[in-house]
Amino acid sequence: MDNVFDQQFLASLERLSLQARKIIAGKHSGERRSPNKGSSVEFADFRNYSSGDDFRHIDWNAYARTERLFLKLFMEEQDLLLTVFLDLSQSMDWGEPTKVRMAKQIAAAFAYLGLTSFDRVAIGCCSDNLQAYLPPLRGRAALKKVWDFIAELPCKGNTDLNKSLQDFGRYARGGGMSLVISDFMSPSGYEEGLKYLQYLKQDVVVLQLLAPDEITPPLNGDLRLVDCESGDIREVTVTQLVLKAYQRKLQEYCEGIRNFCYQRNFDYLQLSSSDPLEDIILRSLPSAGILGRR
Amino acid sequence: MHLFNPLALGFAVIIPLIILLYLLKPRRQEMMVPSTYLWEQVQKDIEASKPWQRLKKNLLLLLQLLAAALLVMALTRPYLPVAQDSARHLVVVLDCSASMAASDISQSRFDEARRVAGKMADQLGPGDCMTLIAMEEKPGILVSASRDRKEIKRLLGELRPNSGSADLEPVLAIVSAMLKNDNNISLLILTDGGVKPLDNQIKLSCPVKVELIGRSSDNLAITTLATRRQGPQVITLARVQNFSNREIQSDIELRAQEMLIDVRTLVMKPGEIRDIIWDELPPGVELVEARLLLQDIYSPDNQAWAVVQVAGKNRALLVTPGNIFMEKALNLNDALDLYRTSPENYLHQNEYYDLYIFDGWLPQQLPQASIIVLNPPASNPFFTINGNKKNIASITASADEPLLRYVDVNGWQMASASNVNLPAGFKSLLQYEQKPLLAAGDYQGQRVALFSFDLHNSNIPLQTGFPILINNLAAWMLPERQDNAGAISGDEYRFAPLANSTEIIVLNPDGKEESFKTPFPPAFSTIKPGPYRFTQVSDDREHSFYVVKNSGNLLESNLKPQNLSWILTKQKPVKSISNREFWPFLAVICLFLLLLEWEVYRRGY
Repeated sequence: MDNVFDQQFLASLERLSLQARKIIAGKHSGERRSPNKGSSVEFADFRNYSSGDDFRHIDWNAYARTERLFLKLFMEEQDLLLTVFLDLSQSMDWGEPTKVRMAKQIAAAFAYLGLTSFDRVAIGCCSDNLQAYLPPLRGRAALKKVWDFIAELPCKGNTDLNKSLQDFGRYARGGGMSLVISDFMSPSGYEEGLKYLQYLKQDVVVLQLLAPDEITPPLNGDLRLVDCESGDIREVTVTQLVLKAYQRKLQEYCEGIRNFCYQRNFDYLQLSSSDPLEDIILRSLPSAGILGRR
Repeated sequence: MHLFNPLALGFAVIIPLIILLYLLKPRRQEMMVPSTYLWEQVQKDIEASKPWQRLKKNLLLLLQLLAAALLVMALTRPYLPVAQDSARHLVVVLDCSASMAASDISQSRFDEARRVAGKMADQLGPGDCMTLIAMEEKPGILVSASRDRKEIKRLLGELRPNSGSADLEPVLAIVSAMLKNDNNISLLILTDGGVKPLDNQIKLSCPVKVELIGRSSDNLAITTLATRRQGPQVITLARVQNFSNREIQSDIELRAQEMLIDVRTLVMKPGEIRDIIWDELPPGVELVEARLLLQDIYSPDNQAWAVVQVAGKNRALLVTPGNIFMEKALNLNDALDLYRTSPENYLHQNEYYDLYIFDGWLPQQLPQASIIVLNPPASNPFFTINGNKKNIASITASADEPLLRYVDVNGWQMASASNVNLPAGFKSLLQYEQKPLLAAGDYQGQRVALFSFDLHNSNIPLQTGFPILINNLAAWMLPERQDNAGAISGDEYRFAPLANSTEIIVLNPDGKEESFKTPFPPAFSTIKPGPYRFTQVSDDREHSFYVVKNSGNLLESNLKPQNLSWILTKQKPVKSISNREFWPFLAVICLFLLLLEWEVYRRGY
């Protein structure tokens, strides 16, 4: 991964941060606003004193004016659990450059952002099911471990996003942010899986990654199309008309994912594996509101 | 419908072959794709809209089957027996006279006639043929009984209207002769009706259709331009005629040697003829031109040229021991300076003369000029004489001989005449018992007239026809002088060059010079209207004169389409059954279908 992220690129990443739509309660104190009140410098509210409260938080000025004890409450900054779900079915090993390469790079970039912001980062590998899961790690020191884990994940199996994401229920502890990177060519669908993530109080970000060959297939004539995942065969006579029908279908399919995400208040972004990584990280994702400036 | 080639139906085997090809599964190339998930849905979509897609898919098959069926049909050469209204041999007569250049119809009358003739060629059936005749001064058969439409159209394309008139009579004579061998002829005459008056009206026994081409008669023309010398003064006369039925105003200008002399305005009533006279011309002018400045539908007759006459005489030498009759007759010709000498003195003279008259004597070598030989001696190197005839009373004259014009030979008698064997190129004008008494012709490039008798032994010098005969002969034999050159007609100009000319240079109206060396052609081409300048070059001098050819004449300038209904016959076109093949149409539709099929395939329907 080091050769992918040079120092300049990493320096650019440093200026970015993850944007969670919701204020999610974390586990450890961190740099992210929490729904809980805590000990940061940011004032949040007053409440009546009750026995057992910390004397240090009593507002003595208010007592002087009103002769009543009020407790001064401050915002608590907690960490965020970022779970990156990487689709590593065989269909992701396609395109020039391959979709999986781009997916891993994006996942690594998000992991970097999370770990450098004192957030916890977990990685899930999706294909037929949740093939591999790296439990949440915290701190910059875990960066190498996370990146190594991502780099060594192989592409195998079919895509079943529903099953893979539902398998995550075994590991989910509390809310967080889930990033799903996939081509979404999942015959069994994706909706149930994403809904389940929402049920698990995850702020879901969907990145659909397509290869240029999938957007404009360089196909013509009488062809026997073999699915690289399942080995399914489709005999198609590809003509201009059929190509147009395919592109129309692809557009409808992507629109379906987008609409689903908007209805569920998920972030959605479609990416091409041929797009430069820097453009994706430093332009596309910030302009979609998924990443923000520190 | 019948088939010329039913065996070609065997080719229909390609139809099931095409269907078989559609039944066979195409050999597909295997391609790996990341997912067939969407392709499956695309296929479902295509199959879901089955009626439309099936129809589209079958469109290729349908087109191919249809094209194959049409191709097989075309190969069988189907035909329909149809009754034809027109006869099988169409004779198209195209008027090529000058008036056909009139532009009252789009482009010109001639182009319209050519278009109609081309259309007729296109409409020829498989068994039909066409003869194309160009109606000019002398008719020309361009193509005879041809079925080759391309050739007919090519010849039509090359045809141009000439500057002369159209003569219908010889055309009718040709068609009449054709009718003797072919009774399927139908005649179509494309003309504006302006043809020469016919001497004999020939009635044809075939269907005749006259298509009059032309609408308007709006034409103002200079029909005559002439000059006359009265002492030192030259008078020029231009006759202008309004052939239209409306009043026309135009300016007329007179130019002498390209220099503008005078401009007058004319307001001509319908049908009016007006003579315009100019009294004064600058001295030394040889050529005058009158020009109407109006732009009408026929422009060639808006210009005319005339040659100004100047004095000039030919020289003639009478070599005789004494012939008062000949001397008197020759002296009557004002354009001739006559000199006389005896045979003895002839050998010592070295002057040049335009005409030599040898009376009863011939030199060993003939001079290079026109010659009249009277009573040639029995022994001479030029003419063979076999005895003589005596007491000749009944002389016969050749009919329609221009040299005998106005010459009455009744009562001509002679005591004796030599039996002369005429050399080649001579024509007998007067004869007695098949033996020539007077002959004329070309002898070694010279014009020679031969009297085989002695005038003194006849009563001819006392007859009124004798000086006329001598004048006709002199006019024929003497070279053209500028004073007798003038307006000409026709596409050729003939004149007798000066005897010692070595070169003739002709300056055409378009300014192009043509040079002719001896032997000179018998005639010079004068196709274009305008002035022609002929320069005869001899060793020591040049002699030039003008002749002019004008377009304006009463026949061609009168552009009103003339009715030729008298020529029409009551013959109805012979209805004949012809087999009209229509395989070319099938082939064209087949080609169109194949193009459509290719486009359908390209678009991927």
